[in-house]
Amino acid sequence: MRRADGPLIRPEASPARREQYERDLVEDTRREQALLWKELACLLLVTALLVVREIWLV
Amino acid sequence: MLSTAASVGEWALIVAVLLGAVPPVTAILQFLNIGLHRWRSHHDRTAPYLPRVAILLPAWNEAAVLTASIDRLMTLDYPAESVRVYVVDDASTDATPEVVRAKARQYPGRVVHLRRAAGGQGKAHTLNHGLAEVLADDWMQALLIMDADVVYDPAALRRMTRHLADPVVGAVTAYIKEGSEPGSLLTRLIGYEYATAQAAARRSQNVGGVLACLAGGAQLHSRANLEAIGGRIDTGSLAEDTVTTFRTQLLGRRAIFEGNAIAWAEEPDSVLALWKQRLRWARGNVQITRRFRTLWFRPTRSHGFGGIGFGIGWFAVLLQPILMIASSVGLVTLYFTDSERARSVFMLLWVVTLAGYLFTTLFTLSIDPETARRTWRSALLFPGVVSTLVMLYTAAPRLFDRLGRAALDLAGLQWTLDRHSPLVLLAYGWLSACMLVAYAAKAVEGGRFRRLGPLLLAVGGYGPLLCAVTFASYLHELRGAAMTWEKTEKTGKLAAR
Repeated sequence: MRRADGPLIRPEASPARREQYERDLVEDTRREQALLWKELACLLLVTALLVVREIWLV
Repeated sequence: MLSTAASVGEWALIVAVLLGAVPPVTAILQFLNIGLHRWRSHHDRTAPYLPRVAILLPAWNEAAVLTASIDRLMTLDYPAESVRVYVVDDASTDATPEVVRAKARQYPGRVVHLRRAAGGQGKAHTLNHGLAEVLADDWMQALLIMDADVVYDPAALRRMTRHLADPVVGAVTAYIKEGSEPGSLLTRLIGYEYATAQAAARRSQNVGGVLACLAGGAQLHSRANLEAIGGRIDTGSLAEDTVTTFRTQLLGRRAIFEGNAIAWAEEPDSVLALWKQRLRWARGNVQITRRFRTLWFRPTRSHGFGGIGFGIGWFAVLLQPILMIASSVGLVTLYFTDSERARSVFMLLWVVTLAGYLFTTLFTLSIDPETARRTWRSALLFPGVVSTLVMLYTAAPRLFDRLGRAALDLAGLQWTLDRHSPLVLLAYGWLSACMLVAYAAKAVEGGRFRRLGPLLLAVGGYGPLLCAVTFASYLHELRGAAMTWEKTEKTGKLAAR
């Protein structure tokens, strides 16, 4: 059996296991998605510190 | 003519100094793609797949840690009938056989004791003994290779197997965290290092489509992948995990890092033990670089090892000691020939280093908040106290010049902080000197001055210690030192976790 987007779905996973899989996926996806915002925040902070340095500290 | 030569020489020195900026710039570029991990992590191609997993656990005198790791494997949130643990006892001389036999009685049919008649040849040989057994029947659909001291979070295995639902994936590795309780300065430094080298850098490699190394203590293979790589682990190098990783991907399968599958390991608690472990890893990387020399910087569609980005990342780590030495030699030479120019290049080098350090540290700590809570102080100490002070100085030079002068006046010293002072010369040469100081932390261990070890490590820095190990690995490879497998001592400090 093959999902529309490609990967093979093994038939042996029970409904409970499928639910658990979906829960894991939602949780992990949320965590991974947050990385983009964390990265932007870190970039912004470092850039701001460098600007402060250039203007006031050098 | 003479002035042209002088100018060329000066530019050569400036380039040498800026070579020291290659590692931080590479780190910044590498970390920049991590934000895209959600869309390039392979999660969209997973499925609820729970294959029958054989767990291969090599053990050489591991009685202190086996009970905890086997018990934890038995409580994995995974169908019990689909997990079998094969402990490959490498002719242990401690209580390992008794511990494993007791566990085999406690978990009948789920824990198997395999024993080699003669041991001590190294992990790869031990694994091959178990692999021959496991591949001899067709029960196993996937194989998890782990270390005896590693304990898995209950959800870790199922988070790894889901990737194998996609037949393109040949291997999956978990995020191994340092988990010794109680921790020490060294284990917390390792904890932070693992967050940056695994949780962050391996996500970046996922995005880039090529993984440099499957963790030796947590690598899951599909049966098809194991058979494709010959059903054996390479025994010809000290980096058998990296060879497996390369061969998996060179044969057209993907290797994935699953950062949400967590395993805990006990890492060395002494600089000497760490040095031996890392020297083995670093020598392994030198061997890999030579063995796969035809791959580097030759982009191809069939695998990612020839990519320019991957090559720069690989060599920025491998050559970091040389880059640091070149940089400080350039700076010290410029100090004597053109001190004005030396100061401006020094400031540029360290501002770039500061930016790289701030970005990679803040981002790493935000990726793994649990590790951040335990290790953020170690993150501050990671480059070493002196490097941190140099970075602080370059952040606000006028302020620190003023403070420095005031402090020296208060102390009644005439010593000035102008660009000809010995302190400046020390700062210029620090990128080399820090490796020597970090090496001294290892050298004093076990001797009369062993109490100085932690202080030297804090002053020199953990990063420079790893660079010193890498430099030592060149020397060992150049003189063809024997490839001995020195086991890292494990004491069971994870048991309570």
